[in-house]
Amino acid sequence: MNSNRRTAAIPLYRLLVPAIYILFLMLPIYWLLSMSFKTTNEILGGFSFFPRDFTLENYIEIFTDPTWYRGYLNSITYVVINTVISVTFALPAAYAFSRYRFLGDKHLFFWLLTNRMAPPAVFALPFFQLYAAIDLYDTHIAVALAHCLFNIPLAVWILEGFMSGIPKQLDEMAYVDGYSFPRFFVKIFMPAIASGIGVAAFFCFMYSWVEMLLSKTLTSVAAKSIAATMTRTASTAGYELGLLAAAGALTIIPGAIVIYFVRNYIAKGFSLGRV
Amino acid sequence: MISKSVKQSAWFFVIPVVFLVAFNALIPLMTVVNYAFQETFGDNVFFWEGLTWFEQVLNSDRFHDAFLRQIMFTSIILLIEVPLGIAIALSMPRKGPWVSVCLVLMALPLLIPWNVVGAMWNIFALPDIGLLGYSLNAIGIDYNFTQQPISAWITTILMDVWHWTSLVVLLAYAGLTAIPEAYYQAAKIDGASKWAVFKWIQLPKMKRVLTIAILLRFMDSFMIYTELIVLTGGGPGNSTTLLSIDLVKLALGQFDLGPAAAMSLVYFFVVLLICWVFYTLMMKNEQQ
Amino acid sequence: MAKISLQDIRHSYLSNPRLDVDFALKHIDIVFEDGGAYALLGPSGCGKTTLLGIVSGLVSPTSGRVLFDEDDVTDMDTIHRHIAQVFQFPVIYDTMTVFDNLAFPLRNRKIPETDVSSRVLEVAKMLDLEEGIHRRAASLTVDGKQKISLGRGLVREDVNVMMFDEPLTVIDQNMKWELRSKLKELHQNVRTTMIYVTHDQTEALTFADEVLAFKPVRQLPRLAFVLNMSDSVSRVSR
Repeated sequence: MNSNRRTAAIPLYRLLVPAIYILFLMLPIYWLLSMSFKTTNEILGGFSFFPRDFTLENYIEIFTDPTWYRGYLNSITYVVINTVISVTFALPAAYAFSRYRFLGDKHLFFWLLTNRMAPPAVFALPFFQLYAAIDLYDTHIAVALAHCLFNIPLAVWILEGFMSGIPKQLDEMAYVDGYSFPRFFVKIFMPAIASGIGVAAFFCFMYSWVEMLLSKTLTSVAAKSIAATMTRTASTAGYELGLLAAAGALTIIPGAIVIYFVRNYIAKGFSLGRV
Repeated sequence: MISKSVKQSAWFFVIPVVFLVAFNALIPLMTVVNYAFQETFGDNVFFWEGLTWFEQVLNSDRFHDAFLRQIMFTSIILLIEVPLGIAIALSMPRKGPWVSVCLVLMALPLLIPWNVVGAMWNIFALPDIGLLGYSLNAIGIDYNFTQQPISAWITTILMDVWHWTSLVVLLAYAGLTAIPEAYYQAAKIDGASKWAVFKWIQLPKMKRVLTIAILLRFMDSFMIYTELIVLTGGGPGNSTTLLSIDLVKLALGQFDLGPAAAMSLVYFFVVLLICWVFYTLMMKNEQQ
Repeated sequence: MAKISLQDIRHSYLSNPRLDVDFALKHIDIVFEDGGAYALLGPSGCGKTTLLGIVSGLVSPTSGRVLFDEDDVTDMDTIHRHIAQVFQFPVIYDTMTVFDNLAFPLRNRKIPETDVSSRVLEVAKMLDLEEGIHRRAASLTVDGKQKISLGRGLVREDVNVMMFDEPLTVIDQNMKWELRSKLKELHQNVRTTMIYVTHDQTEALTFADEVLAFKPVRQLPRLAFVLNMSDSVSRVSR
């Protein structure tokens, strides 16, 4: 008998469109990487598709110069602090929105989301004044708190979506079994929405990591972010494209690692948010 | 949807979030409002100016131009990214090892810091040594994004498409994979064409995620700053000076705090208004 | 309308089945007589839905033949087999009206609009869907939606067989009884061959003239049930 008639193998043409798109995505990234392995002379000397004098010098400079690698450490520090704060604060709030009705709940939810719509350019200067006034200017915590402006609404939004998917019977059952609320929340509820927490953390990490206007405005020396390092080094040490490309290439790595870990949840997290 | 019970004490769960967001949103907003309605010469001495700055901003050609450019930019990228994102999501395999590969590679641009996105495209598009710029000129297209407004616009739009189409793809894909297999089987039995399946099953089922996608893309494109300032700096001339760049130029470049603050409020208000109108329309449509 | 014969059907979801345990269905030989009402009874995961898929052409069997009357349709597309199916969950086109939902299969087959209209109204009447026929289908209750899925099969006059895959799962307890008698009544009126899959004995016995009971032979390590028609399907005829 002819077996495997019309089996579910993916026709090749269906991979063609994604493949072309991915190629388009990879070209600028390839160019950045290629630049980062070139010497300044080669870059300024003219066009070359592959690096002719392959060099690791740009990377060596970044890894040996504290002003460079501290930029990365500073950025990662405030991103992690922000992710922890955003998710921790958003958890109980999202629970309240998903389980109860209370005075002004809908307006409050909408107000929270409007902060996602605030252009950072509008807030850059007032933020500078605010954090200078409370003596937090140029600290990691300042950037982490400032990023809460758009990350907390986002985290509440995502978590609320996931929590609404958990039947209320779970809560009621836990009370019948004699769980106190905090114990129920940590031991039963949080594991039940673990993937939601992962997705929310991913988005907080992402938006805090890519946002550069506020982080640059709020830091100068001690907590200088990688964005600030990149622009300032570029202006003081001349236009060193190779060094800039290497620094840029390195900023892709943390994001790539995070995506790899949450690859199965990304698509899901988007779909469960509520408008 | 689960049924919710009324419980006023739920406010206690929300208070920390409200406090933190209010601290970040209301105090700076008050600062902006302060500057928008008053004139100051330092030392915390303010003189009431009323709506002077607002009139000045709303009547200035400069604001009109930036606003028009912004509308044009946002419309173009929405018109490209949304259909393109849907098309790519539709052509992606539903299962198998390629899904992960596609998703990881496609999500990559979303996690690159915005200044790096700008720098990357700057290097990529440089007419003499950039891959894009050099190739275009090599095949006889006169392209120089630092000199020609048209090239600058094309580069800016390409950059945004590169940067953000994946967001639409991921959302649309999430919507597509959530459609139960039975819908496709029923459509097959009903003899529906591919186009009918798209129009009557896939598009309606993607409506919710597409609303999120359009809202997010609208908001973020309306606020675009970092990528653009690194790529073109708003130039050549003022050709790519969108709202955010104009605002920062006004506030930091010229230190015209009053008009800048007034412009900030108008700007914020416009974003809110458009989001609200869009949201209300979608909801109304839903109820019919 | 047609007699449907499944001849020595085997099916496996694996691409290279070797052992017996790899098969979700093995050695099926059944004949569904023209105009009969059949019920397939058995626990979930025993291959009932796969069997329906093989009849409808949504699943192509690893080996064996499917005949409609005397025509071999094993390699024929779903659309050319002229079958209708009601799924476990109501499948409706949310953005269409009830009328457009019912007209959809006819319009896809390029039937003149006047015929479409009269046929749709006739079926709507049969199913008590006339009221609010121009409302959005999404606004109906679950049982109303399930009636629409049923109606999309009934409007077509070329249907060889109607299949029901646990159609009452999501229906309210008291609506279940009503829908079930409606189905029975419909069968007496239209006399189309009907195959009804369920794990509920009462449902099976009230609906069908003949009940085919699927029994899992043995539980396998992969938690899949294997069906062997020769020793585990008993026919209960009335």
